[in-house]
Amino acid sequence: MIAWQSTPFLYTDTFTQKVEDYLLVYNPLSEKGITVLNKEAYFLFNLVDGKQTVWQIFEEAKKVDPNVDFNQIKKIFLDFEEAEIVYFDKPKIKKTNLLKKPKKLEVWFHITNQCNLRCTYCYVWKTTEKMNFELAKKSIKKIIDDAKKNGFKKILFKFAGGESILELKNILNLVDFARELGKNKEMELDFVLLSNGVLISKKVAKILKEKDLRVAVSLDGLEKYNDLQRVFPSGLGSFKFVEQGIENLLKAKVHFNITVTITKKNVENIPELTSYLLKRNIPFAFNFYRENPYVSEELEGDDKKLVFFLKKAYQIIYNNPPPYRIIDGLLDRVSFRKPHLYTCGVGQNYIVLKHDGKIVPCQMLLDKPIGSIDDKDVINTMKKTNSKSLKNLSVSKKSPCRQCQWRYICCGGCPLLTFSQKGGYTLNSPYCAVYKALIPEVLKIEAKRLIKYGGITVNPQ
Amino acid sequence: MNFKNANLINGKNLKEKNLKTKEENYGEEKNCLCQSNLTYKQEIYTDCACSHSE
Repeated sequence: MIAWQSTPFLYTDTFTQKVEDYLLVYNPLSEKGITVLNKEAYFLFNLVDGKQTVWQIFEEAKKVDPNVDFNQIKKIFLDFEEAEIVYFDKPKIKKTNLLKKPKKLEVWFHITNQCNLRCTYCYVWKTTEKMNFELAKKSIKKIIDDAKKNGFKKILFKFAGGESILELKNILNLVDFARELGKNKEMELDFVLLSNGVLISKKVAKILKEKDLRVAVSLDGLEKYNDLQRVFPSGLGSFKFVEQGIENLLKAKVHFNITVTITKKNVENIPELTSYLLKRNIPFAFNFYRENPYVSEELEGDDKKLVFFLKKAYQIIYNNPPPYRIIDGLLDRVSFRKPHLYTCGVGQNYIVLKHDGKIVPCQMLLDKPIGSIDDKDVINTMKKTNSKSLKNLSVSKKSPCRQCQWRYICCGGCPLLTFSQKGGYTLNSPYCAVYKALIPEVLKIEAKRLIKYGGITVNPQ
Repeated sequence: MNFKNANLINGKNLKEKNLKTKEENYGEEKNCLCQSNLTYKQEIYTDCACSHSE
């Protein structure tokens, strides 16, 4: 209840930025996301200083609009409070929200080591080994059972490899099997295939649509920029084949998105790739390359170049944002979905199952088993990951991040990368400066989307 | 300035608005597992190779 003598306060770490005639307000502690204020709301918000009462703000407003009614001011302050950009008395957001147990389990189902490509940065050592169908069925049942016992409500299975489409027939059977089990156990299931896109023919696309399966297709640039890093064993580039696969997915209306791995070889093409994907209305995610033992060449680029070309790409999106929310995949491991403590789900809600039934902490550590599908409880096995092979610490334990405004959306970045480059898990990401430079740019894109599709008004004087 | 027009928008009220007026423009409905409460048509879930923390 807001009374005339109530005093509004701003949340600590609130970020504001002018976007055209509007004000973007983002409270990184809130689950409400980005809020955009029009000119009048902006005027009132600007008067919030933790000292002036609503009545005093009303008096200020009267100076520029003599007809203003106190109830109008009260109403907008109620909206501010609801949007969690101001509070009265004491903050409404509880930090304990950050400690809620995850309800969704993600499973990296490494179904094969085989692949028809030899991408230059791949972290999988290709062999002819693949998962036996009976082991796959047993694993799905075990994971669903253990997830249920441990209070999870949903499971996302990511079929990966290697190239998952090489195992399409088995995957389709496994999905049918899992859906049946999920129904019986009241567990919500979702599936996605991670693919290089080369083998997605019209027939494959039609099957994926019929089975309601999502696909994440890797594409790193247009023409030669993709072909500098995504190649067949012969060295032939894959772009033309992937492009055909994408056309087939679009025609079949399959839900899919593009994942882009940014290295120093393709960074300058990211703006053009962005235009290409936006034009086709294809959602996409940008990830930064992470070094791994199977890559001998230096692929990490210069931070300044990375910031420069990503800013160019973001400007293209800003000029014409799609109607759907796109920002969560635009900046590597930074996620604006809701405040969180851990960069990824390792040790919390993420199981990586190998083709041989072994469980590893992360798909980038396939040779570091921490258990197997035969363990008594695979959720307990997953929790062992805060061991010597990988520690996924809460951002509160990363000393350089403690005071950072963005700590609950970045969480200090990928722990594996930080450890390999800086030698410790309690440090910030090697990409920290890049993230800090680009987060405001990404926020602007969401503000522009809200302005474009939200029908928020700019009023004449 | 006319404070009758003071207005704000965020993702939540955009969804409510679009459900009523613009849903036909957004293709097929898809649940978003990352935000289990969001089943609105303009939410598109982007999958990637990494896991998502909750």
